[in-house]
Amino acid sequence: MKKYLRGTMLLFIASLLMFWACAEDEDTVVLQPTVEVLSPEYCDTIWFDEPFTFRIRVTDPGKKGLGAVSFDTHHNFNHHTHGSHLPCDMDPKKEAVRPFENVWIYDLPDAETDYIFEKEVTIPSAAGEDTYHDYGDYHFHIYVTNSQGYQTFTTLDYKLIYREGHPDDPWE
Amino acid sequence: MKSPNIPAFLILFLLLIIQPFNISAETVSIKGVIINDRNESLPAATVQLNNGEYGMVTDLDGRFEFSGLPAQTYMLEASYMGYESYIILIEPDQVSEPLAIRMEPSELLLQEVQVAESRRQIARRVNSISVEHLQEDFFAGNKAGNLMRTLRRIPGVHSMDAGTGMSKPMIRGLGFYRVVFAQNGIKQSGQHWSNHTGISIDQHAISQMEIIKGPSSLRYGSDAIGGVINILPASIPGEDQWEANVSLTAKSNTEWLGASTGFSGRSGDFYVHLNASHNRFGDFRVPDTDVFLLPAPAGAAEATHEVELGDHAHNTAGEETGVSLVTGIVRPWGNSYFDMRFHSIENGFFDYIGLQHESQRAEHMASTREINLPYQKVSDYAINHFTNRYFGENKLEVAFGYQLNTSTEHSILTDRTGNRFEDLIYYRAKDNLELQFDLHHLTANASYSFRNVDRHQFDLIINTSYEQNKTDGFSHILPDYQRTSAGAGVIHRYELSPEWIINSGLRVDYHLANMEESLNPDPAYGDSIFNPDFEENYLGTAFSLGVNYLPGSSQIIKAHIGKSFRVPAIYELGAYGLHRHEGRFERGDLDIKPEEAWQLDLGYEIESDALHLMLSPFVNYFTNYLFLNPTPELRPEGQVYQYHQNKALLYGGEVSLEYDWTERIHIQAGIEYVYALNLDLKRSLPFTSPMSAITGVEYAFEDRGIFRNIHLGLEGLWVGAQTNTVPNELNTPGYFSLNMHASAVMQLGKQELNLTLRVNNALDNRYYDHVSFYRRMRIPEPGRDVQLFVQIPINK
Repeated sequence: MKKYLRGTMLLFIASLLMFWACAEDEDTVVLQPTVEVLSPEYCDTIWFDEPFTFRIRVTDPGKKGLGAVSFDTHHNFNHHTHGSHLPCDMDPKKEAVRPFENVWIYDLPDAETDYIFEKEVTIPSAAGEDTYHDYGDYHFHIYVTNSQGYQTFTTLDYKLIYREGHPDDPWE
Repeated sequence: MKSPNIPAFLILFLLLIIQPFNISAETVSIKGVIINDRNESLPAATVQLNNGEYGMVTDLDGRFEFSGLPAQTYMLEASYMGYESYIILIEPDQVSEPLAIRMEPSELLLQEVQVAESRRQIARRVNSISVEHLQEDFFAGNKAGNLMRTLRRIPGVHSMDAGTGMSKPMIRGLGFYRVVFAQNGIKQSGQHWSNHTGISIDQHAISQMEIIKGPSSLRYGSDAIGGVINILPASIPGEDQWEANVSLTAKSNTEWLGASTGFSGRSGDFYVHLNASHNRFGDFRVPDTDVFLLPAPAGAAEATHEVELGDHAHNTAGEETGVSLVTGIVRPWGNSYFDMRFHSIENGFFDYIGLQHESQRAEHMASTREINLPYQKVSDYAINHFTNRYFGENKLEVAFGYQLNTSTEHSILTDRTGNRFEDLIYYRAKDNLELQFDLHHLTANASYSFRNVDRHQFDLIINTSYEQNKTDGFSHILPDYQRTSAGAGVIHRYELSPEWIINSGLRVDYHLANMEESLNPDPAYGDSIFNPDFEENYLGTAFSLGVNYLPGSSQIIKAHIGKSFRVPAIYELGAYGLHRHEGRFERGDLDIKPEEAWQLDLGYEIESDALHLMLSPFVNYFTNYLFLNPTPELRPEGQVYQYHQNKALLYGGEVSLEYDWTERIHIQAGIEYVYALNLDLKRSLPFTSPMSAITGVEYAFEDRGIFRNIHLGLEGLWVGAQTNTVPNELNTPGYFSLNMHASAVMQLGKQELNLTLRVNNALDNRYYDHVSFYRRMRIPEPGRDVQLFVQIPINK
């Protein structure tokens, strides 16, 4: 009886080890949509009050159809880094006074699985009456979903400046 | 509050009047029940008449009956291991009354442990669903950061962690609202929707508890669809005895320091248990990490910010205080007592948003013990009153409870819309109050148990409760609400023969949910109404049927089928707002129907001198499993997740094995597995913990000098990979982790010291826990943790 029990025990532990050996070791996310930013380019310059085209190519590898796109922008005057991109040439660090912030959200066609989204955007210089937005280093945060709710995310660094110098410190 | 208790009381009084039993004339019967000092029935106690002229052992409910006896005077002697023998003379005119024989424990404490063990075994023999009884010995020297983490050692029980002090229970892959946490049958309320809210309990004040794995709506009503964790009352101290203890805890990983003290005593009929504890801990430390990649909200494929943080998960420090007082009287008819508890916890939140900003990062990195913004405070006050009254063998239990749970979240408030400047100033002055919930909860429960009707036992149960939630704070996520519920059920146990037991039951519940309108304080921005006025009735039914086959004393075979239900929580109906910990916008659905689940459980158990093996497979089918599902919709706050219902199937089970290899070597092993499938969407359910196995070896040394009861143990935890995931949930690789422990009793003159040393994650392995919040943050679980527990018992 005792021997039989030991046998059971060993079998039990052996099966545990086998289960361990069989456990896969992977960490892949294959069904998220993908985003390729076509415009503006990385480290591009955008001018206040002048339109630029926001253009991205979105694909859905799961072929379920697209959901929505959201892109927002915020300043990077403190030089934080995003993701694995190479850093752009940046201005010296500074305090934010009136940074520009906004978010744009649009639906994407749920019949498409490979789509180019395009939107003409103009960033206003005026932050109020006689006040102006801070110029300098900014980011875009870009989120895309597919119809199943899979989400993906990427970032884009750019410089947001005034064509004629900053209105707050007069161009001389 | 209206009085939902009045019908309950009427029924109770009716029950009290019912007193069955009548005996025929020529011969007499002597019958009764044997109970212990805690009024628990004692099965398998020996009862003898006239020094062995007649003899028998009591059944599973402690009952005995000698029938067909000639009418004369009898001397009855009852004996039970661990208790003083009880002798009584019975005159012929007394025999028609059933006897309630109360046995007092004998002085030898060692036998007490055996009694507890047999009680544990009896519970498994008579119940058709899987029940685990835990005693003080389980908790001694085995206290993790919070109760739920401590319970992870039990196969089938898991915890969903959001920090050292914040964990939610999960049983067989079901968590959040699907597991009831109760104190002696009174459900605890709280902000269970938040993955950053744990259970409000001081684990140092727990001496016994039961864990029911599987649907238990029959006894506990709505929510007990996945299982129940029920704290049982501490034993009543022996007459004119008292004992006290002081425990000290230190843990290296979180720089944890804790102390707790307890006192139990009894003078005549009056008894008291008093506990107080305080713990402080710092940020938890992770193994060799240089750079954290802070993730995008909702698990995007790419991390957002690359931030160098060192080896601590910043701002996860916390502080916990618990005080409890149990006091009452014990009389021959039963006992009646108050149970008052206070528990508060303050936890820092791991601030993945703030860490992206240099100034806040510097503040978080400055100290590993300080709690900075954002943080949470949860205070829980409970006053419960319980009465157990015996009527012959029948038992009445009445419980009343009041609970106040106050939960606040504080963060650096920002006005995203620019229109609520005044609100912002107001709430910044109120300690940066982002969210506040004041939850009042009243409970009244009653049950009456008929224990001797021809081997039948009937329990009639009534539960009523009323809940009111008030909200405050700069942000909105949940409206003010009231919830009323009332339920009644009957549970039946039939001992067909000594080998066969049949359990069955039926229950109906009525719930009324009432949400108040909440309007957008900033009408220029977003939806004008967050939550409309809403009132809805819900009806839930539960039933169960189980069969236990007991071929001999060493084997148990069980089958059980049960239907349970869960009325949707207010959050699932009315959530509207940013859940900041997940970085997503969560939205309820007013059309949600109560969840219903059908579960089939099987059980096999064999116990011999050296071996104890348990197998418990299950299949659980939900007609409308409720979960947060990602939608394609994006909002400025983040992606929208909405509650959604689908057919779902969960199956799996547990295996546990204990084996005494030799007299000194004890081996333990356990496996748990759950497979979850959304039948409509053909994919997994969110956050299912992967297969895991635990194996342990313990060696008992001979006594050495001042040390005795010396044990040394090794424990391996093997966890599989989880690739069965839902959208935006990361797959998690498997891992191995090694724990070690050593314990001994040190004798210093007359004073004993109980010492335990544990090393968790002894190899300092780097791994992720699939269901932990930090998995989403790509932060590994805590590294090596050396823990020292010292317990100083003080006895009279």
